[in-house]
Amino acid sequence: MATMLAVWLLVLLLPIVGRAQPAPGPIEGLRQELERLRQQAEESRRSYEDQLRRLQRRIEELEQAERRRTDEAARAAAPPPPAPVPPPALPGIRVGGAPLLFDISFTGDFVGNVGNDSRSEQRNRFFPRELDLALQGAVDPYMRADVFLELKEESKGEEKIELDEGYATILSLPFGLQARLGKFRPKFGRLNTFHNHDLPQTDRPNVLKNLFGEDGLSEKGGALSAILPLPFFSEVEVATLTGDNPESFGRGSIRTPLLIGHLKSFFEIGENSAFQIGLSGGHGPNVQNRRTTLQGLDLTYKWKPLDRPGESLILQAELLRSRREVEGDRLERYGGYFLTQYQLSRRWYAGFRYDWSQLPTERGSREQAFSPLVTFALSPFSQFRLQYKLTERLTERTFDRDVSELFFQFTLRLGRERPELF
Amino acid sequence: MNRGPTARWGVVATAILGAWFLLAGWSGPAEGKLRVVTTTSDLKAIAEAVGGDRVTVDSLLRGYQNPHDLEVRPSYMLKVQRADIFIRIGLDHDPWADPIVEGSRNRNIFRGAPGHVDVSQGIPLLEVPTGKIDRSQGDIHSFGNTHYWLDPENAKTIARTIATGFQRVSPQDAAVFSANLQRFQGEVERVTTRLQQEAERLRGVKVVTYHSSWPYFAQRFGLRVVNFVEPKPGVPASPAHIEALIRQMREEKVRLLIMEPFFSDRVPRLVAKETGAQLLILPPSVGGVKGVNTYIELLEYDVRRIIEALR
Ligand SMILES: [Zn+2]
Repeated sequence: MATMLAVWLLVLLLPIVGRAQPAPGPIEGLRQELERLRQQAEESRRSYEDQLRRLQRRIEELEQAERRRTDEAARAAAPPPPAPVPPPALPGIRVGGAPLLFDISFTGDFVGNVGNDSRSEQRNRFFPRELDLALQGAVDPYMRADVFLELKEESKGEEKIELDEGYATILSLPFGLQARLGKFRPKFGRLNTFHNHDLPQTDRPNVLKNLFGEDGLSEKGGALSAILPLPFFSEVEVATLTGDNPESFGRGSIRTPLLIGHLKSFFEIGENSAFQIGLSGGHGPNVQNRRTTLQGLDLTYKWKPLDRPGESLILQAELLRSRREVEGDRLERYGGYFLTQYQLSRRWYAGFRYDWSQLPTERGSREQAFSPLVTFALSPFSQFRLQYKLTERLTERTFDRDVSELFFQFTLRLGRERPELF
Repeated sequence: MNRGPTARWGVVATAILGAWFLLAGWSGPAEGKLRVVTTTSDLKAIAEAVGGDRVTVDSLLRGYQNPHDLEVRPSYMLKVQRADIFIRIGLDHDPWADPIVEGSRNRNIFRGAPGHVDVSQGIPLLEVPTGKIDRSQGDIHSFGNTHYWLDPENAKTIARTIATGFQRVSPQDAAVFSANLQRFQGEVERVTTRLQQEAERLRGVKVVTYHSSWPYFAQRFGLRVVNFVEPKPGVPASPAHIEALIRQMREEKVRLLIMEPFFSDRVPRLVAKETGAQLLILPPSVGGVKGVNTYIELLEYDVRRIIEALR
């Protein structure tokens, strides 16, 4: 670039420099001028010749290099390799040899339970809690889509089909933003984005069930997210949602939307463990068209030693506060859980969860629960789980008797679902 | 003025986004080098050989990690966020790379972009399943065996694919990459010829390996892999399979059991003890053990350890 500039400057300036010379006398001047031009012509001829020679040499060098390269390639190809199998250009499952353009997976989640919880409609039954069909893939180079259709039995023999999630992700927007649009599980706390069959325990922690229902919070709307330019991984997501969730919100109008924000930071602690902290906030109108505000803190620690395969440990906790304005009053309720999961071997896991939660709409009520469990994963695609849960419930009206439940859960997966992060 | 919580939230959100827009403009110091991220340490080693001083290379996986069982951390997104080139083994070896690449918002390296290099192109695959493909054959290797970098001929192809990728993104350094490629391919050629001579006695020797990481290596250096500790790739061994394996190893007089460093040695030790075979822990990747830092060193280390074990 600099050389080009210099050449151009020279070309532009030369005539000016030439003209600036004073002329001594008409004939003498012309003769000198002629002599100078002759010298110049001679010089440029020499320089052209030099340049030509240099170019010729360079061409010869390049030709030699090219010959060497082709020889090399010919030699490399000498033992004819077995016919190369062209890898499929796109990831996807194959049906009859033709690659489909997206991934399909099916997850079956069956739960059996025996217990004396009078509030549960599915007590003493074995039923398909979730039969989940996932369609995932690229829409075009700028967008991907994730659709999760669910068939579930909500009460005795009553099955219904529901869109658990169905959204597009616009992968790269200006300023490093990413957007989600559709129906999705907004990032709120740690477990909200988990589908029921992916939970580390059979049931969702009590505090999340009390605030968002059995399946957690999945809402319609849009979200923007960004990775913050920090030396450690930090991501913020802000969502504007319709707010249909009946437990905490339920107004369901985009004129007074539900706003959800989540900030998470991830820290590596050496190669074997990692720690994540998240802050969440939610604010929107509830069924009484007054405000509900949620705040959450989530902490996750994971240990997975590289030199001890088949061993891992998870410690996780979430704390939530709900402030709900109701007719002439304001209810401030707290709740949280702590869970741990220890992987004993490639197939066996043991876990425990402690729940403590005030009921969001009943003053003076609270419950706590203890849930030990074991999980046996036959492969990464099928697992069996046994969980016992003891719940102590205290309400204003009565001291409910303790609830004992025994869950049996069987989960299977067909096809490939997209790997999840951390 | 009654500023409700909505207004407060709005202010907070605007402040966060404003700060983000300001900071997003800052893209760090430009070194004038290509920023390369690979999924595996072997690709890192080859990319370094081809890129020379024109690139800085980082790998998501360490050589002693199991590529099929990776804890995918969000911090990987930071590593690829500013990459100019992303290089992967492809097929179903590193499917975990997709959420990382897409989550990074770096469109230079999205699938289909010039900076996304899948080196499985042009590789003749082994163990390509025929007929109906489903999970009864295990979870992984569904397109064929993906441990193809362990054949030095394939390493040369990988290096060529990487050089093409580098030249596409950084044409001004094309000559440097070509020269480096030739040097690397020549060196691999020389070392392979020498190692094949050294490994003459390995021809036809029967071995059992834990995972099917070694078919390309075995084919090049003449070993015969007769069975695996895993009944199917990625599926843990059942007692029945172990029993059958022990019987087979006794009958066929298999003297060597090769295990990758990232598996539990409990079952292999038992099998070795029962059959009198020697258990050899061998890295299938650069960086799998200390001192193996280049592709050439990996080849030399693996071949020589096997020769020593059978001495
Ligand atoms: Zn494998």
